[in-house]
Amino acid sequence: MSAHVRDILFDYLSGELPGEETASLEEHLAHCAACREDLRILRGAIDILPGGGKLPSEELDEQFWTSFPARVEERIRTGKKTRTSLLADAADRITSFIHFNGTPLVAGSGALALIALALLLFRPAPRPDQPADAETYAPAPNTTEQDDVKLHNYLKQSRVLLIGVSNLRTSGETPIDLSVERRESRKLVHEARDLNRHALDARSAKLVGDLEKILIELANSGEGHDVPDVEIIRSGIRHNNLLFKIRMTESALDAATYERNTQ
Amino acid sequence: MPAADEQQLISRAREGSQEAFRVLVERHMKHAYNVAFGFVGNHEDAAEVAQEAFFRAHRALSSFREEAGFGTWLHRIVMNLAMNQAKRNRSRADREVHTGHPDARGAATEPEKAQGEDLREHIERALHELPTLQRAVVILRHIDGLSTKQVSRILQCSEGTVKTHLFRGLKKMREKLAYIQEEWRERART
Repeated sequence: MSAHVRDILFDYLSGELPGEETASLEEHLAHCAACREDLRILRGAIDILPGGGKLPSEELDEQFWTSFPARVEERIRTGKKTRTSLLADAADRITSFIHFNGTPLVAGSGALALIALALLLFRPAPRPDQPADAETYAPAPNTTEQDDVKLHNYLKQSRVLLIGVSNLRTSGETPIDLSVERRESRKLVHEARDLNRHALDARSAKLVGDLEKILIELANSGEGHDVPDVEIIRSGIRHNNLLFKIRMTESALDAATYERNTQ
Repeated sequence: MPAADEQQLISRAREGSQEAFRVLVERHMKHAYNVAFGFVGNHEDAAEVAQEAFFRAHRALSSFREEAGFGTWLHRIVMNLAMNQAKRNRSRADREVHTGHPDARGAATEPEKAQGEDLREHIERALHELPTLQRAVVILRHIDGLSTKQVSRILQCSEGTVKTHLFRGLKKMREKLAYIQEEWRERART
């Protein structure tokens, strides 16, 4: 059976094949069992798959589509992603962080405890006469909301990347493809340098510095990474407790944004 | 939709006309959303991807070369963003499987456990298990109903490649979902 026949079966089934090609295909199908089998398989797939049914966009109400252009305009105007509610988003992230499978009550109290902790960590900066404490979460006095958004985005992307690396399946026999991770980490290393040019509180600056080391390690990784290399990166993530620190800083940033918006 | 009209809108949007860009958004938003949904499989992510795609399209409007057509160009942006999002979702799902329910993935793929689960979930899972290019072709060509030529422009490959990937993708889908048809037959008999 020629590959050409196989390639036109879909057009044939969807009625898009020109007349003369249809005739010659049908003639071929009449005496080619292999192509008839392919046609049967393809027809089966088309029967199962959605197509021509209800489109996903039709499942949303008209209100969603009426307000969609305005949300795009808002995104363009502010450069920020539009969300339903900042507080809801923060709470969502905190609850997902807690990742309780138990009762909502336990999850709720856990979330409240984390919000309280985040607010405590993001307490006001020390007075100028107080010695600077590198271990406290205190926003730099000239940090703007835009700086916070940048840091937030950077942390979110780093978190996704590190979780991906942490969960890579390593069989020990085949080389691991880290090309996507490598590209992402290079981008993030550049972003980290940009972030360092802006005012960061001491804790965030340290976190960005620790993250940068891991990201550089990833960015410089060669093709066909092997298991021990990935393990080194993973142990760096674990040793520095990076995922937890990222979550905490994200929660603190959310709390700061919430405070700023409610003032 | 007349191409000249769209060219005019693009020129005006480039000059800063918010109104012109709004018309472009209104024209393409549902299609962009449907393409995104094909990859990410949920409304929330599809909405975010579509929104982000228009944001990026607006930012890159000055570099847009009109030979491809705005829709094709936008589709490419949507597809890239949606594939990244789908990858992130998969990594998150893997994490949940690792941490929460060690048997969840294995159990979910067993045909005999399919009863009671949503058919759409099965289709989406099978679709997401396809190699990237096959998935893209199946979604764009079959589910979104774009022509082979349009898909080849979006994916920047030949029409022959589109056809080959379409056949292979659909064949794999058929194999992966064969047990569902068996079930339907069973139900029809009882």
